[in-house]
Amino acid sequence: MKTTTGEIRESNRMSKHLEDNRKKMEETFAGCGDIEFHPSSFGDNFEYKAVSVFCSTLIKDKTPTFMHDTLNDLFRKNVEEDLSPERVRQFFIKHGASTSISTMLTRYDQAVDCILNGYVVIWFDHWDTAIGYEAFQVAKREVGEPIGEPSVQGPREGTTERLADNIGMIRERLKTPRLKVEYLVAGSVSKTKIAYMYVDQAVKPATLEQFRSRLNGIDPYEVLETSYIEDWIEDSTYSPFPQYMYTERTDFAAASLLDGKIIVLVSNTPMILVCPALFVEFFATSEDYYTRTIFASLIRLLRVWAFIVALLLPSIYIALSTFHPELIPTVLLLAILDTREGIPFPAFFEALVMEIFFELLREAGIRLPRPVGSAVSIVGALVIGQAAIQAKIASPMMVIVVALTGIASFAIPHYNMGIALRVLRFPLMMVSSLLGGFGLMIGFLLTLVHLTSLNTLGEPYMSSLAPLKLRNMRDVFIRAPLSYFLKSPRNRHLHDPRRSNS
Amino acid sequence: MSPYERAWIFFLLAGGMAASDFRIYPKINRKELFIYGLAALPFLYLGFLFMFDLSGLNLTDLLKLVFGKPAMWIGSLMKQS
Amino acid sequence: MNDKKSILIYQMAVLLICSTMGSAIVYIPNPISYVAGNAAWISLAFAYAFGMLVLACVLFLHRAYDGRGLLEMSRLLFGKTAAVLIAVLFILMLLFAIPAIVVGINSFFTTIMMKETPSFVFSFLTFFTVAFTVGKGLQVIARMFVLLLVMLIAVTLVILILAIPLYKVKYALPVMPNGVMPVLIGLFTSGGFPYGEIVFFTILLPFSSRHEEGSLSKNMYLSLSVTGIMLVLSSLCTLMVFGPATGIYKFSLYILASEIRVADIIERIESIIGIVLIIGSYMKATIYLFMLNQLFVQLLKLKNDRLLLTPLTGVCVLLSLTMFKGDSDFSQQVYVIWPLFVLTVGCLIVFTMTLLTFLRKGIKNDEDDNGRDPRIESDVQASGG
Repeated sequence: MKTTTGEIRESNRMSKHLEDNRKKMEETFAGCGDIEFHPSSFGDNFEYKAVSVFCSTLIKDKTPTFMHDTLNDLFRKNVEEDLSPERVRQFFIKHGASTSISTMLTRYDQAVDCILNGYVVIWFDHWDTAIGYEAFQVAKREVGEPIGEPSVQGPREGTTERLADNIGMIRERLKTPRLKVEYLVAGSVSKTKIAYMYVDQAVKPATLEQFRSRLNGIDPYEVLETSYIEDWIEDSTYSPFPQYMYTERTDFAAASLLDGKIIVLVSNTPMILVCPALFVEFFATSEDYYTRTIFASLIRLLRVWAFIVALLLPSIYIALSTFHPELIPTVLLLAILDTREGIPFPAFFEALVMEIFFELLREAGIRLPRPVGSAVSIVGALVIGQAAIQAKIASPMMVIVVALTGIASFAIPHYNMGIALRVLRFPLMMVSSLLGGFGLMIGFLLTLVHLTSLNTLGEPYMSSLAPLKLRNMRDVFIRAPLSYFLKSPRNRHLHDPRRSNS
Repeated sequence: MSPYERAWIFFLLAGGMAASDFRIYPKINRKELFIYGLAALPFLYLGFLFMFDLSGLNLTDLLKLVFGKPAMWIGSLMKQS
Repeated sequence: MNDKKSILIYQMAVLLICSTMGSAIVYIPNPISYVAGNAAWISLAFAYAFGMLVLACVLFLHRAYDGRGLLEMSRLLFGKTAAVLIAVLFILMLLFAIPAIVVGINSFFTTIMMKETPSFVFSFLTFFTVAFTVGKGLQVIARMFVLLLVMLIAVTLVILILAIPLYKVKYALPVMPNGVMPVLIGLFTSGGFPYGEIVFFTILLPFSSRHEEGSLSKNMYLSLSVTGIMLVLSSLCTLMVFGPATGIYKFSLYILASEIRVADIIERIESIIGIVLIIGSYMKATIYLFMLNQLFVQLLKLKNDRLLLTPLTGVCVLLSLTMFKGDSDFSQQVYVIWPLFVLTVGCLIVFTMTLLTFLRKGIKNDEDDNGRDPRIESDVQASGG
């Protein structure tokens, strides 16, 4: 239906008659059983009418008192007892509302938005303005320990589904006016509130520009979760490697902000998107900074080792056992050959079968109810592992390799990097089963080229490694003592204009 | 390897090359098409040599033509030592 | 200049190491000790000095022409037609070098490690990876090769250190029973491969970033010294293990690694040298393919610089499968004809250009206070550098 904007605005303006307003609201919310209309009357002889409209599922129980509070205001401030709509109007225009948070609404779409955001909207007779009081209350999860990122030492505060609470928790950690928060709304149906935060003078201006320009045009997009935004703004959708990080920890988010990252929060989801994320940052957790230097450095190295194992161990095993058995020490080689005797399948097929079973177990384990979960894992390990060995489908060595690979992939702190490895493992296994060490090297080189050519929000993904910046390596594979990099602003090298992107 | 196998290999190579250049073809203009065609000529010639396992004129033969004599001389020096 | 194509100075220096040491580290000193025997390392030391000379000329030209490439420099010096001829000669050189590198990988794998696999498999896969990398641009290449080079040098040093128990120092003494001639022939061979190939860097040097602090020359000399030291060291170590027999085994580092036996666990690790060979050759082939592509782009003034990448790769693949008629043909071509080609064509061109530029600058010194030829200066502004 094509109408000019002016006409739309005209038809949107509220009328002075209560009945028209009420009818309009009833039409708009036809079929919405949870929208309630409470008429009331005021004045000396209760001759003046008013109606409150609200969504009962969205608001606190104290609704009936709003009308009461409003009129109380008038009684308190007005000496003359002559209460008329005109009086009411004059009062609110002059003084504004008092007790609760309220807004003056002049258009129907504003009123609809407010009602759907948990406001109580009150219309008075003979007045074309409505007053909306905020009364939002919906049951939400309590603040608890984030499930995916537990810590032994350090805060256990995780984000919840309330956007305001999350922003508040982060603001509490960074008490500076340089912490900027910018809001936007996306989706014509979902009307999701999105917020992004950054610390001025810590974030790289070019990155912020890139981020903003990519976020443009997200308005029609129905955003239901932070990962929708990742999909919208990332550089390479088809790459298995994640270019942004997720976190549920407020301390991690605060630390990232100090490091010059931009974080994105979406209402109704606890996941915070941290952009940009570099490859080397996926090996760090916030707990690294709370434990001692040497231990933290060793754990970092362990994680790098876990990454290599998770990605390459099955491929290396296949390549060595099939093509280059001379590289394996003789004693071990004899043991392997001993166990591999009688196995009908080549090493690749064996590895593939075991890996797929492991992936199946992992996928099924996500949905198992907790009482059954532990029983199934024991059964899975014993039955599948032991039975497979005895049925000569797999050799014990292969079971060990697959189990080690699985364990190693859990050692990587960020889930979306772990899934990248799960995806990449299979092509590498395939290519190393075809051509042994040569194939493995080619696969490795192709992966490395892909990683090096990947960009995240304009920055090279492998920054600190490629291009090699030795000064940043103090926080990559080791964790240098905090006194080396805690002064503000951190990561000053990010703003050094001489250091160009190469 | 029989010529059939070699033909297979050659067409596999040509197919791979065409697939990787897939995106360039729609936007190509006349000059670029001409240059591309010119570059494809040695490719086809070498492919022909490869398929039928001929030892026709190749880059190494060109080099031997120019540097053949000095190379023989140096080779003989090498043999002496 | 911070556009898509410029790389930092240390990255340029790393590329120099990659292209000189990359594949040479596995082959040296076999071809040289074939003639020079125990004195191979002396030949290599002299070749390193020769390489420094070539590098000095290349850097001088880079400075004198304010960062122009080979084609532009030859246009300015010799005119358009001669420039095209020079470009064609360099193209022919590169078209020989790139397949030769990959044929080296092929022959290594088909004779030693994976005897049943036909060689076209290795050609295809290697060239696919190389072309894929070149297509991503010089910056990606430079970033990656720093990491790969670290790996390469680390593995080589580990091998050389693990072989310490095998060294017999008396083998390293240059005996020279046939006089100086073998050493000179060794110098000739290693002057061609790998040191003579530094002339190709006239094509690559324009891509180094202009507005960076630090000296390009110092870094380049340093990296060539790294190559020189590594090659001399590797040849010394091989000689100390095998003595006069070094000239027989084709892949010296490989054979050296196969002799290592440490505590019953670390033995027969020569397959790792296969990795070193792949990485080194891949790096060299990538850099050379990039240079070849650039030559065509500059010669034909192409707007899309990925247009000819696939045809060139295809031609190189087929060349690698058809060019050499056998092992002895390969040896003769790479160790005799190639040095001739590089020295008499490549090095001669670069030396001539250096000499002419030097003389010209001397004559026209009064034109400009900076010692720069104002004609060149204005051309820089016109072509945008």
